[in-house]
Amino acid sequence: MTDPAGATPEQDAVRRLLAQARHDGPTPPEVVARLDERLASLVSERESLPAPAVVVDLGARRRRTAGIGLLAAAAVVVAGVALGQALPRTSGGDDAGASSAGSDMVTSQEPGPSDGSADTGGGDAGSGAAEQSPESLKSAASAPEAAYPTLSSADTGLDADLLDLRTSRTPGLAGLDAARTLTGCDLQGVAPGRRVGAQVDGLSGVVVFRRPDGATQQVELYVCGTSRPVRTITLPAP
Amino acid sequence: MSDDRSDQALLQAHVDGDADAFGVLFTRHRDRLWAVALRTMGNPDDAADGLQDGMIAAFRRAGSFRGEAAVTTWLHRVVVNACLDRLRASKIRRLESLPDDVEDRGTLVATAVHDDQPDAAAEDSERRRRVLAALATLPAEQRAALVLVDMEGYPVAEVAVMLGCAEGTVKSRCSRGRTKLAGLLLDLHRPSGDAPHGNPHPDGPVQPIVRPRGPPAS
Repeated sequence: MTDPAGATPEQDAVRRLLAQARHDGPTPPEVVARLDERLASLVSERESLPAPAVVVDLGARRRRTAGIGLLAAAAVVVAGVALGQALPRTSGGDDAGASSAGSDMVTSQEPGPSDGSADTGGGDAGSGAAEQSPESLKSAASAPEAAYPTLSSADTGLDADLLDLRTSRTPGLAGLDAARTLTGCDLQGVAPGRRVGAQVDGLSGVVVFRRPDGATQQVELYVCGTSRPVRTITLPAP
Repeated sequence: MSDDRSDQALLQAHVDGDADAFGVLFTRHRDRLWAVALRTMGNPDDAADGLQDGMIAAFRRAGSFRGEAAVTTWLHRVVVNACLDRLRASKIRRLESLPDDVEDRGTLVATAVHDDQPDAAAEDSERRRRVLAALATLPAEQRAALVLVDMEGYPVAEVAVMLGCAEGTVKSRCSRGRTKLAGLLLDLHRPSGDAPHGNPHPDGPVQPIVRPRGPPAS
């Protein structure tokens, strides 16, 4: 039944003692009654629940974010090439080209040659366009706040998901309208730490990243309405 | 009325909205889950809390069951995790209190076998109390591994799934736990009259060194 290989006689004796101390009786009636009562409330809770919120798989979200990043980077390259070809014709040494370059320098608060040639002006304009694109990347990545990562407390890959969630740009609840996004979620008993909204076991919940303690960081998963974590995981400190 | 549906069919029916399916499934495995919770937590009150936490988690997480293991293995995993989480959260100090379920039903059954031999019954009860008290001194992970492998008799591979760790880890936890228990329970597993050899185990109880007094020399 077990793995007796390599067991010493003392260990075999301990195994026998443990087997003799096994609990063979039924569940006590008071415990059965308590479980039945709780189960009935769970069933009634489930029947009264509205349709589940939008569920987003973390892995899919990660792949989509990477895809958006690639697409945006490609757009930047295309825009840069197109701008590079267009600028020599539009700013060929006239005042409009110089003033446009000057305008870029003013908005970016960077010193530069006030009497730049046409080529300099074109180059500045091009770099201005290149600097804008990463900003648009950031806003695109953090826009879908309504979508929450999906976590399963029984998932064997939960550690990896939490590491991914910790390093992702998912905003904490402080940055969101908690009342709107986690309707009915009581966070009173939840431990202190960085809170991230999530779908935990198919229900609205929150992930709490506790303050790192030495080389480790404790992470707790809560389901809304319960003050006790459904799962506690210890991660290496960031 | 019995329900002939398989565990997996019941779980799927629950996910699909059958209001009674989960109750049938949990009742089917409840007694064994209770035994695991009781021995892992060390007392009936905490075991009831742990089992209830596990039941709630299983009810809510049923949709995440992927069928990679048996439903009963998954149920054990959820309940054991709930117990371990509760132990970690409440930082129960096993060393401070002895288990108070010595007179539980398992003990009463064992005692009933010796109802015409009160000495043997008392000896059984005392041995069980000692074993449970020693078990309570182990770290929670070691205790859970020993409960599942040595008490409940589950294969190491299945326990590895239940505990979410490698088989080698289960074996290591069991081995370390048994070694510690062997030191604590020296007198129970050593035949009487067989004096211990060598040095006492460093983690074992202090052995009496005072020899029985003889009559004063006159």
